[in-house]
Amino acid sequence: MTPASVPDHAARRDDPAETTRLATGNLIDDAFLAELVGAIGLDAVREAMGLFREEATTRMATIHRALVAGAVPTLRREAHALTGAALAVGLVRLGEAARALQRLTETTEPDANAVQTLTDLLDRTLSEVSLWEARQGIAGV
Amino acid sequence: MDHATNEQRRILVVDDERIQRLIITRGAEALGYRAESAATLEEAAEHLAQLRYDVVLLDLSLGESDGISLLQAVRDSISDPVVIFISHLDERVRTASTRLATALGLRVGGALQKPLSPAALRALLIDAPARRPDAERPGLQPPSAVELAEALQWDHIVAQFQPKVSLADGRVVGMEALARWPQPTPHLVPPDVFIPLAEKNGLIVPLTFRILRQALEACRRWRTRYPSCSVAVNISPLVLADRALPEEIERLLNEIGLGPGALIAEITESTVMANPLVAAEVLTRLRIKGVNLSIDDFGTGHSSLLTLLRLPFSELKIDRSFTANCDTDPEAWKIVRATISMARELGLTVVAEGIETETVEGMLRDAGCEIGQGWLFGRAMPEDALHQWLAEHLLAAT
Repeated sequence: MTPASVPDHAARRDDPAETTRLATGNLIDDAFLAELVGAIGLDAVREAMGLFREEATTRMATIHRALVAGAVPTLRREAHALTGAALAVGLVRLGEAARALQRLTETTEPDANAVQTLTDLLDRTLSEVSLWEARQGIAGV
Repeated sequence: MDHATNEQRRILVVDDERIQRLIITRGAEALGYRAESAATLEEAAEHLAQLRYDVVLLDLSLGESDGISLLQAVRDSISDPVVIFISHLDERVRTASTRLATALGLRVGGALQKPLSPAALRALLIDAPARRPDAERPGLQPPSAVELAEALQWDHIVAQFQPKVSLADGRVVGMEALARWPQPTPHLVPPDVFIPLAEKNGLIVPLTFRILRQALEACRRWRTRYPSCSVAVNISPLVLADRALPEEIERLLNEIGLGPGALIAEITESTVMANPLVAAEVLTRLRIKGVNLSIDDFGTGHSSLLTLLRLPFSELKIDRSFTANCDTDPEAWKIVRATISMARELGLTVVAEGIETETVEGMLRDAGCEIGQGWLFGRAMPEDALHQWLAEHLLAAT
């Protein structure tokens, strides 16, 4: 069976040029979010973003604790979950960075720098989400 | 299919990621669905037991569990929903899951890759057919053992016959007898409901002998015109547990006036495994008496190479889950070809079930399959309808 079409940010995942773009490009896939708003409505996207804020913050805290405790399986599971949560709402750079951290755990024990980089990216992404919400006429948090 | 278009369709979203669950749920609601969601298999099974769904959207990875474990519960629910898979894994996983669900008799509406494309989700949900409204009708509540016993007593359980056709020349070579329970309403109680009911309630032996007698009597009538035709009857495990079965079948054949070659006993591995030693003894003695043995549903996990080695089969039936889509599924086709080749090496007659198109018929014929069965040739039908059907076909010697 051929799967139905996938979002661009998933289809281009293995393209090296795309990887570079993701490292420096937009934090939010605007086209994807516009499509999502069209499919489920602005209120539902706002609800999803609210869930994301809550979930990402909790998972990031767990990742930090897992790093300190050397609990690599926990770290991997949380990074995987963060990947899914971010990509589900079009937060492409964060999603790919969380995926990279997840992959890192499969070969080595991640260091504090890798986790801190992800934390910084999450902060920047959440700020960008607030701006996006403001652009949609929604009061940012 | 008559869709329940006048009522709101209902979807169950099974996904352990709550953001994804929310997005799918809201997307479905925007299309007019009533949506429920579940984060675990247990929650999902509870929903399926309580409500009827048109669509079950199932994430294949559910934390520590996997969505496949839920397919059986989906099948056992009476709502007959369409299943849509979602997964972050590759296409092979989605394809394998689709095959598995199809083999379980489920309708698969599609498979989506994560992260979900809202447009793709929307397209699949718009196209998903509603559940069959039959399930909503009180007349289709599962029958009780008492009702089944009465149906047997009053001869309401009847054999219907599906033709088996020689793929080389299109001639009919025999029939498979299938137990049916016609109802006063247009709805049948399906055999996968009443056969297990019979097995659980001590009714399978009389049911099997009822079908055996009807099938052999019909075969005797066909033989006045077509001397070599045979009839196949499915034999349940509990029947095989009776060491006297070979003599009882021989007595029945004598009473009706047929030789043992008129009967093909169709067996699945699950049949044999219920009591392997007794079953092996009974089947070997049946074969010695001249009854042909067919290994049914080959390749589904109910029948295996070990069963083939252990028992003196004369025929192998390739399951419909391989043949039905073998023109579009290259891997299914490889398995079909390998099975035909192996069966021929073992000197077995090869029967392919589930042939629905001329393309598949042609492919199987070219691959060396001798006999075909399926809707392309004819569905299971009552004996009088079969006579009409037979008038249009030349019955071949087997």
